[in-house]
Amino acid sequence: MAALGFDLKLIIAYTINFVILMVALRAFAYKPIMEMLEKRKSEIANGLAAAEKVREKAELERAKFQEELEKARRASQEEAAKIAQATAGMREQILEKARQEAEEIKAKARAEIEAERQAAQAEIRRQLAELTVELTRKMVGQTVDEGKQHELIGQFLSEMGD
Amino acid sequence: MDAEAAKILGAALAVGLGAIGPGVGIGVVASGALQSIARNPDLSGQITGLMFVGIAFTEALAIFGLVIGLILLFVL
Amino acid sequence: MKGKGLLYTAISLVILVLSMKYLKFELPIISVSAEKLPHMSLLGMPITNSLLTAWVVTIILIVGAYLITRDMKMVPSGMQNVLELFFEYLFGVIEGMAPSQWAKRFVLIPMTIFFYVLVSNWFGLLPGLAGIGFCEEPPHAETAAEMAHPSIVGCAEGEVIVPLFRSPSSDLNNTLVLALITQIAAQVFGFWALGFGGYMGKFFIFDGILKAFKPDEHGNRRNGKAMFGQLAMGTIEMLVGLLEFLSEFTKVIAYTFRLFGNIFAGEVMIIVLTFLVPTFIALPSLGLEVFVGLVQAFVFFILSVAFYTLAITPHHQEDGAH
Repeated sequence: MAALGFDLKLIIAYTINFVILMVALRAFAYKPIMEMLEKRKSEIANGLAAAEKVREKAELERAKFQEELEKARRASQEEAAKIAQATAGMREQILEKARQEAEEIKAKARAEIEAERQAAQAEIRRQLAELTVELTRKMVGQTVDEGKQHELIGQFLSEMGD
Repeated sequence: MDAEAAKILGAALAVGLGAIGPGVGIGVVASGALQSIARNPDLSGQITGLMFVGIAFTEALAIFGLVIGLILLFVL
Repeated sequence: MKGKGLLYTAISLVILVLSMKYLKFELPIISVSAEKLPHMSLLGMPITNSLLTAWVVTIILIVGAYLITRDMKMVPSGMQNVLELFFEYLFGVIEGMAPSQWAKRFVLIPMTIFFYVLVSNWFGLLPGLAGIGFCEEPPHAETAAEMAHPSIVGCAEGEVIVPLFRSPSSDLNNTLVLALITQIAAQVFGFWALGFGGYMGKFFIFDGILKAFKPDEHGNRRNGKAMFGQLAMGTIEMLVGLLEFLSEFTKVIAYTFRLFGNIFAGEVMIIVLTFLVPTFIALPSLGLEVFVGLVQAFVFFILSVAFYTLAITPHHQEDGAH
């Protein structure tokens, strides 16, 4: 054994050396690194959880916003429909009124025309009657008293009127 | 044959003969590892680690031969 | 590009030939045991160059670890990143092999061995280190220690250089210590996990033999043939267990000589190659030795983890009759 260099004192020295190294590395390397790895792991987990939370919140917010948007859209649509309906009604009303007015004007005009026409007819008839009476008087040569004349005119007029 | 010549001869034989078996053995180990990596490349990390363990066991035999040779040459 | 390559090759060849002519040096004494340093002793213990290097490596590791982990950053950078990379990879290997509640307990010894062996192996490969040392008379001279004087460049005629540094991995004392600590820890883990009886039950298996003299699972007495078969099976089981018990001791030897042999053989190979051709030729072997140093550190690490895992695994009873 001695020929291979085995020496109990050296073995003890190496053992002490290795034990010191083991303790020192445990204190300076393994423990801090282990803790750092744990810390980093938990940090990452926390970060992921926080991101998940934010994402969920954003999702919720988005849903709310969507809902509001939908509501607004629906409201505006209703409004538009109402307005359109109202407009349509008003248009109808105006048209109706216009038509009525036109009708009234037309009727009035027609009535006036009729009245004038009748007035004109009456006038013509009266004049014709007077003319006739005049003619008749002249031809007859006799004076027809006033009363008789009126009677005649009325008679003539009624005959002619039919 | 004097003692010195016998030592040298013994050392050469120890290393030379001792390397035959482990040589074949390491070949078998590496071939098996490569085949399994080719079949399942996803496990290459694990297989490589185990391959080195296998090689270490096999190679230890050659190293024992070598140590015997060294002892013959330099110690005895 | 091609011209440049040719030029470099030519220059290298010229240097190579010149070095072979003018850089000749004596083949150093190759010693399996670590050389004792002259004029140095501690409490009556001679200090060898490997022990000195082991101290240097220990100091490098402790100071390095202290400096790196002094203020750890959440976002790692530089050396902290490298250390964490190694640690996380090795811890991943442990977690891959061992049950999770044991993984943290397995960190201490294998990982310390990994870093210690890795730095030791690579420290021994530092170029030029072999040239720093003391000049001494060849070992068999009587007054070797008194004649020693420091040397950097070379030694006088008839003297050999004793290097100041030598990789601790190429000292059997050191590798034996690592092997013993690993194996003792494996036994401790075994007793811890399985209890005294449980752990010893892995090696001393008499169930098989005893079963031969008991009724079989149907409650019938065994006839001669069945008894003989069971007896043979039980004997084989017992022998396998004893072999495993024996292998707990041979593992120490295997650990010791595997690391020592790999590293020492690598150093001898580099020395001999450098002796034959002083320049360039040893470079590929140097690269190979860097790789071997890493692999040996990893192998020591992974073997210890594997044996710890084996130690805490209970002996499997192949029958459900108990």
